[in-house]
Amino acid sequence: MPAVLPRPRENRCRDALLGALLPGVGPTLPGLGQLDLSAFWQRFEAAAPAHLRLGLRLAVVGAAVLAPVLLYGRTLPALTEDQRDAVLQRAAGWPLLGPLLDVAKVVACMAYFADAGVQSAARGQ
Amino acid sequence: MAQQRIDGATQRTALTLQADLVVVGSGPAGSAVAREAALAGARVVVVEAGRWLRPDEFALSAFDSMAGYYRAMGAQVVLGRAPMPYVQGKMVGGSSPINGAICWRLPQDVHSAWVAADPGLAQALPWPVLEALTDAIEQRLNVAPTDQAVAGAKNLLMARGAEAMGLEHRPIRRNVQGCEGLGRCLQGCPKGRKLSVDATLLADAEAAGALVLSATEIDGIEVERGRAVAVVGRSDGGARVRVVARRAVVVAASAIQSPVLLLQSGLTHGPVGQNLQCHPGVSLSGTFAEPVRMWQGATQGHEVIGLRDQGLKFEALGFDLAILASRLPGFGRPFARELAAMAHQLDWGVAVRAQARGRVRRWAGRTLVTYSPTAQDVAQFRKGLRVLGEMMLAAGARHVALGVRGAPVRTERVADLHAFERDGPTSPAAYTAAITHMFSTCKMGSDPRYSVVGPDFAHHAVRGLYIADSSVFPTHLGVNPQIAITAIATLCARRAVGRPLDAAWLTARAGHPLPLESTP
Repeated sequence: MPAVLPRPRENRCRDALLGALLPGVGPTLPGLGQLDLSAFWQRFEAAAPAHLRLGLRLAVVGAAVLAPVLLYGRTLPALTEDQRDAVLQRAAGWPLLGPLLDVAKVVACMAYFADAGVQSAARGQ
Repeated sequence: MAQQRIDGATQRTALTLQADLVVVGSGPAGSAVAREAALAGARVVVVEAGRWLRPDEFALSAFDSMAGYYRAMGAQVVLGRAPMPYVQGKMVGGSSPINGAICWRLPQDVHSAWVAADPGLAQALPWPVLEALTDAIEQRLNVAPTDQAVAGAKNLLMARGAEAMGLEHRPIRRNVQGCEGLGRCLQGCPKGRKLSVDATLLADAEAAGALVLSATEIDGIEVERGRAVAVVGRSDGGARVRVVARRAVVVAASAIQSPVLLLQSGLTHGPVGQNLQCHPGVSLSGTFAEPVRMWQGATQGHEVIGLRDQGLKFEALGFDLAILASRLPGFGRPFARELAAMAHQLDWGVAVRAQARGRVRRWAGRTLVTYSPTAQDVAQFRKGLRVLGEMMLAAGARHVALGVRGAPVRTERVADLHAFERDGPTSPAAYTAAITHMFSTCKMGSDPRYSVVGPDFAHHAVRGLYIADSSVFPTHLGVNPQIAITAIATLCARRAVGRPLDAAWLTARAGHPLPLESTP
């Protein structure tokens, strides 16, 4: 897939999307946006098949760029947390974007529970 | 003692090996073939695309396991009306080290249907012989019902729900020894308590002299004057590898990779890659008042078999947290609330013996698998989810979540579940389904026009080429196939080494005299 955005900007949008998908969970579990995911992304880029990486990038373009621009005139990183969540709730019902958000959610969950601290805290619940 | 293992990851110079029998793939089929052939005295080389893993190398998280030793990170997808992932292991032992350890004998009704459709199979797959081999394999793999002491809430609650509905159910028979109920079968048991084929059948083959070349992907079968003479491929270390087969090449690489290897080798005879059958599965989650901690207890320890004759089999599921989480409803804050209650969530699944037929192709250097559930299959998804929902509510769930686009997110009413079964979405794309078991892409049969191998497992058009895995099964089974695969692959090995299915052999394998009236 050709780059729709410069890569650093796309990564900021990706991080904003995944952080909005999985915000803080109760008092003991952090939000995905609070974790250092650099090791995860390195491994993901090396191991994930092309169609999964493409699905994630399409989800980023759709839910972190197109949908928020349509709804608020700005991309997801520029929105407040309330606005980001509102974008997700709307976009989840859109025919093409809903399934792409499912893909992003799977990746978000993989990233979240790949963190040893999160695994340990969650299993201790 | 001769060298028993070569690690392709460190193989950087060209390598040529010779054997009587070359086996491509080390999953249940390849390991069973290697064991039988080596015990019969053949010089065997097994070539496996994945690497050896020790139990202490098995990861805790789903991501680390999938990135480490699942083929394409567990994200291979069939194309069709509803793209669905199909999951395969890529390591020595194939998917056996990372499956749910569920063991089923070949159902006699399935065998009878095969023989009724093609009477030539009666002599090739004699029922008493298969039964005897299955006994022996189950003994070797220590197959036994799940110990209730390690079952955990997810399995015990399924028993309660099925009992309340009057559905036949039972603890799943599994190939484990000393299971502690860590719930990590799908990432690989870190304590080595699963008796997967690498630790059993392949170990027996090695003890009998077989050599295992791991981390080496075979990409071609060499054929000379109508006979398979070698396989060629590349090691992870970058070396070209060739293994010469004095007697036979046995392909046992799975119902996806086996037809791919044939097609890559230009062996297009018969319906190779066609007739793909499988068991797509859908699942349903539910919330309980008390913590149930789905990640604790035997990964898959209970099943409901009362509707197997209708093509539905229900299983308790035990995912890693990442997979459980991804199946919970919602995005953003509503999703976070679901996650906060994750200790109270369970997920159960239903595998459907689907009507649909798919196909495996090679296109532009890539593997393409097409498969679309039929309307009847989607009706089975709805029925399966309704039964799961009723069972979970009967087991005490506060509410259940269907996980179907266009259906109510959650309900606590049985009437809603019946309405969903009746009026729910008819498009397969509305369902989050996944495929685990695949069959029939190199179908066995007497008529070369409609099959790839004959009843003797030999390729119809190429001498010295055999196929041993579930790709030769005439149909899908409706149950978990690993034990049936090992039993049938053992028969393939016997054919490939040119030995009879005689009484002395069977007695030696099964450890007791056997009735052989109907054996050839």
